[in-house]
Amino acid sequence: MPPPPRPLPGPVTRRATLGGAAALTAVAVAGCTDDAPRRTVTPPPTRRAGTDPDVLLAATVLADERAMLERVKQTTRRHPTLKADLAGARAAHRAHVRLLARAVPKQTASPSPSTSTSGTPSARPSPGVPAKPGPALAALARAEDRLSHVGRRSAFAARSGAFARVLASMAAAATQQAAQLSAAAQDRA
Amino acid sequence: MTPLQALQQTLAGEHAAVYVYGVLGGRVSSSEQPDLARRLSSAYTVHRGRRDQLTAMVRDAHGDPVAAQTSYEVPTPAVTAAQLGAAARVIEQRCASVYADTVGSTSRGNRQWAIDALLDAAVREMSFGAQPERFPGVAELLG
Repeated sequence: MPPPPRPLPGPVTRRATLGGAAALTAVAVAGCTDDAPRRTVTPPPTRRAGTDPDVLLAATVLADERAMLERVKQTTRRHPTLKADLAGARAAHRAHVRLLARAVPKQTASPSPSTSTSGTPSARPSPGVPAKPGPALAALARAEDRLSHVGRRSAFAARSGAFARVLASMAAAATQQAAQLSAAAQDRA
Repeated sequence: MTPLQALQQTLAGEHAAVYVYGVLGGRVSSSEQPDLARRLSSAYTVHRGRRDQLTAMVRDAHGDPVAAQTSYEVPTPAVTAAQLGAAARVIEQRCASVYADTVGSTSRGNRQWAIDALLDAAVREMSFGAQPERFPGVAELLG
């Protein structure tokens, strides 16, 4: 028997989250207690793991956030004098990665960054860190900007309202980092 | 929260933002603090525009747009340049929180509107001296 038709995405409430999306929400709420981590009970998925569109979306965003975090680390290694400038970006993306990693089952956690949502990957493998600090900061700012644009689309696409809220916040964080890094790049120009 | 309730809550927030930015704009010296005056004026214009957009969005959702109160509390004494900036930061952070809630309670065009407003508020609060956050607009994730 075919499954009943899925209702159109009309009013989205925070309660209208199921399966992986509920896990994402639970993780999101638990994520604020870094110092005293609670074990988040992940509800058993109502469908086979990996088929929930929000879990797939989370896996894609997780790959993007990991790529961005790695790029920040590469830049810090290449330019140790930028460590303080990059501390905020590093902390933000690490927080995003931790949150998302708890929500994504291991077997769905390894897509290529953003290949499923568009033909323009948001966070390509780092093409190499520019040799001068100013351009290195500017390159990171552009990468944050791309991440934010992809994040906007992800937040729009999420089925769960609660998950959309967190994704939009992550996109906003990337926008803030883009602004901060861009200003820092101009200071060093 | 229904989509209409979310839009009404956001409209209420815009009423407050318009009022407070109106007060702040009246207290800044455009000759002594031209940059701050320009940023406050820009924020006022943006929030006034959003208020009008939300009024239409509420009507589209068959709601009766919530009215503005006669006055609102200004978040700081709002006398010095630092206090004016701090008040603006509070307003943007409050709006960011409301926009994020609206993202979670709406879909399609209204959700896109709220996402864009959240991103704008996140950058605008920095123009008033806020530091970047890990989860802008989502209070329970802090930082």
